[in-house]
Amino acid sequence: MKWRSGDITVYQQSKEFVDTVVIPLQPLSFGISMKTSAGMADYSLLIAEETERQLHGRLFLMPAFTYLKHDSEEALISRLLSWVKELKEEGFRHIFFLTSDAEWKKSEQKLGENLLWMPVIPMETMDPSYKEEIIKEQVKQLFQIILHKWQES
Amino acid sequence: MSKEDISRRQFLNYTLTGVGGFMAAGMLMPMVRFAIDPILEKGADQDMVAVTEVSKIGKEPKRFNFKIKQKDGWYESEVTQSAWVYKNGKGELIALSPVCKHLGCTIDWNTDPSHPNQFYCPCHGGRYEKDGTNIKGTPPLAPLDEYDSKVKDGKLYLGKAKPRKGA
Ligand code: FES
Repeated sequence: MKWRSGDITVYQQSKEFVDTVVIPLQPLSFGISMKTSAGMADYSLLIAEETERQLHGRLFLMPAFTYLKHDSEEALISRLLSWVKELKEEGFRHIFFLTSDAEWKKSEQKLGENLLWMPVIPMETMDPSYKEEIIKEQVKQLFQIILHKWQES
Repeated sequence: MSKEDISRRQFLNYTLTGVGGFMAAGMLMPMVRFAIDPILEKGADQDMVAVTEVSKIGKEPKRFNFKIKQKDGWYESEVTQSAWVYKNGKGELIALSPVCKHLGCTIDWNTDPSHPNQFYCPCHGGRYEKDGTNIKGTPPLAPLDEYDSKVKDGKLYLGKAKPRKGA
């Protein structure tokens, strides 16, 4: 499900079935790295949306958590943790962060949730069918991780 | 009074409302047209799409992807859809939608080891028979949708996925 009013109606009626949240973590930067930053956003959006499509009934895809590349680590973490707190109060049991920004790997411990990090593959000039293959492969891996979590619980 | 006896004021009134009404109609019409256009056309973009060669379809459900043009308001995009296709005992081609009727996850064929030869939904364990009938006691309350289909020149064409009657 996504953050749009139609989905929320369904969500509110079937809350007990939707226990998983995915939050894309999206850096914004300008100047020379502007393009890389937008590339990351494209990429994680494709992956997040495809994953959402397949697991629509149990997974909630949040709007991206956006931040500036030079925001301080503590500030970011505390802001993100307050999202987590609120989501837990709402009743979500599995929270996944999805990002291409390698910086987050350093903070993985402090986040305490599942960080799914995927190095960005530049796809701007890629052949569409090849692009689709890559996305599918990535989604399959994500899928496995999420299913695994579900089976554990 | 004879009917030619229209005062100047009445004359102006008539003509002005006439012109005014006409202008208003002219202004409203295009707006209404714009506003409802995409919806009106919605039915038209569901033409049937060639999905696979019939010779590639066997008795075991196989997943085929195909692209359709979808219009979402003004935004037109290509979306990939998939169908589980097989030939049943009577030799008919069956094409089922992969969207779980519980809350819309994507189902898979034969992936639950404890219940072989069924469609299985990874989200809440929904299960369906090969013919798409939902299995009682699992969350889905309706059978899988079935695509409109036709065969032409050895190819399978699929249209819209339509709900079937409950089990
Ligand atoms: S969405 Fe398939 S069982 Fe719930």
